[in-house]
Amino acid sequence: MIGVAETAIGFCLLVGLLFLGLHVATAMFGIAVLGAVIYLSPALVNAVGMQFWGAMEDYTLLAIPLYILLGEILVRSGSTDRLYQSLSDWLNPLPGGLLHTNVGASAIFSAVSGSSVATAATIATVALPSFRKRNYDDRLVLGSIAAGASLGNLIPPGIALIVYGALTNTSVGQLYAAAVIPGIVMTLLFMATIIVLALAKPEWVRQKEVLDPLLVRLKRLVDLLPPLVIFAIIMGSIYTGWATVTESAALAVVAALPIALLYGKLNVRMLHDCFIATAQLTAMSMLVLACAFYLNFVLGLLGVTPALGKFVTELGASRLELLIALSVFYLLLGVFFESLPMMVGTVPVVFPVVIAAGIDPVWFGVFMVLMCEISLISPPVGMTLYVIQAVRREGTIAEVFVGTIPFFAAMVVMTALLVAFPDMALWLPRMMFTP
Amino acid sequence: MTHDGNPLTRFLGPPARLLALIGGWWLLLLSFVTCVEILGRTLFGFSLQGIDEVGGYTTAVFSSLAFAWALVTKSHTRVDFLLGHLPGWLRGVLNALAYALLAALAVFAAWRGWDVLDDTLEFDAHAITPLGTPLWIPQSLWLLGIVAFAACAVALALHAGWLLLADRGRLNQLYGPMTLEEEVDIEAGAVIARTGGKDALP
Repeated sequence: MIGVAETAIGFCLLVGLLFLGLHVATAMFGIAVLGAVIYLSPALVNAVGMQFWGAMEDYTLLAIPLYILLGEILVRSGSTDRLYQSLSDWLNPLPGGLLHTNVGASAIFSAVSGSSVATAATIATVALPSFRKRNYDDRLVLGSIAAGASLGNLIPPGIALIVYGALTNTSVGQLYAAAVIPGIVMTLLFMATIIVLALAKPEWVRQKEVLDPLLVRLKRLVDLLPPLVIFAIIMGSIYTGWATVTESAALAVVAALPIALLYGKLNVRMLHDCFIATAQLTAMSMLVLACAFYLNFVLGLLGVTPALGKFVTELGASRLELLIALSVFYLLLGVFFESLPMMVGTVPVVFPVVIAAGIDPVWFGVFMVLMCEISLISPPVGMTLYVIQAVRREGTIAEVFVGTIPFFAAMVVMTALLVAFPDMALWLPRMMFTP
Repeated sequence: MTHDGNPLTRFLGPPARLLALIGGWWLLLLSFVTCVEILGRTLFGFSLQGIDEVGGYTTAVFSSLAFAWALVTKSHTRVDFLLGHLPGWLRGVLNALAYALLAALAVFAAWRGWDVLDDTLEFDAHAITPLGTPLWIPQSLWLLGIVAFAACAVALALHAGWLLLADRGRLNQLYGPMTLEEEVDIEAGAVIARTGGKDALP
């Protein structure tokens, strides 16, 4: 049994080891071993084989490689370029013109691909050449792509919610339902940000977009179908109860193959590229997850959960105070950390605190993922920003940083809204899962 | 594949890649079988039984078979925020340390993993499910992945340790956290290569 002080020391030690550039898995495993050897029994360390097997042999977690594979197939099918064009047909009339398509296309695309970084690269590659010929402020273009890509985790199905669900034993189906409305609100907030900027600073958006004839645009609507069909298959099969989250992912993978075939991109080489990328991203997440589960196991035996619970109760902080503190904590952490290490590293300690304070675990999952999204676009460590810059191959990374500021502000507003109106996340799962 | 010219990963890469590819085909096959199961269950009232069990083993085996590939492509996550600002010699020490500790973790996991398999074999353990799978089958495949991972990790750690003494510049080049170009290449290389320079809009 250990107290709050030891937990805090352990947590700081973990962050320190991470900063030293150790692999995230090694750092978490090291802390777990340290805790077990000092406070419990060295024999516990021997249980690590069974712990790893138990953590990795999990049907729910199979959704992770399946969703990654789905995203890879869709990215390589070439459906993005067409999606972008078709979406711009309808979003261009808004003040801010083509900028809205960056957000919209990223939102749709990242929803099905599950990877913000892949989305940023894809949309940037498709969008940037078009913008070179147009009169838009560069920084806003970059910011809107980064912001749109960050939506990927929030709009289901996303990997982050699966990881959170696995770490905390929360239903992934409920988490997906909870994330839908916040995901839509976040998208609308981003678009509102663009409209406000376009009206306030007309010199930033000097391009007048010309619309194609209605008939042409209607015909192109068909290009919106592939991602929407995939999304409908996943959400539909989960909520009709026909399939579990994992099964729905398998269904979507199979459904994505004809799409790639239709666009003439399906072949063995392409599939192998998909497999390799899937293996790489899965192995990366699963090694960290296996170590996180082991750390969770040790923390459970150490009695960290009741200790932190007691601490929070004695602290007498209100729910709101606690959430504000957590928001600030994650905003700071997000400056240095990418989303996966941030979530996996903090959830084992933060989750018991949150539960002790009477906060809904499903709601907190949405909150946590929102925090991860903010970390993705907060400089100087924000992978999506660098990916966009790498695709751009001109100007400086500072322009990308500046461009994200208005969208960063929109995310902070979103966090406040989510805290103020918890039902934004909780209403839909309540409607769907209570008879 | 990595482009950093590390002779060791060039040698270890192809077998590690093969393991990952086998896993990929298996994953795709399982997806098809799952579809049959869903359709059968909802439309015709039959069930194949045990897809979830096989799926669970698949998670374990697919990830462990890919550990080695992720290692030789430097994909295992590291936080490189501070590292980039440190002087070269310290960065070299930390890079070598990171690989030494990862190798220690991998070898330890392989050793304890063997213990799991050994127990299974000794008691001839079967899963308590309708399939009654003999557990040694999934567990030995899982262990194979971890052992391959451990072998690669030890090789890389020794190489990194040697470079710490012999050629620090090369150590930081080969064993530093992934450079941005490498990371972009992995996560988006295919997209960029495919659409690079092509305009989506007129």
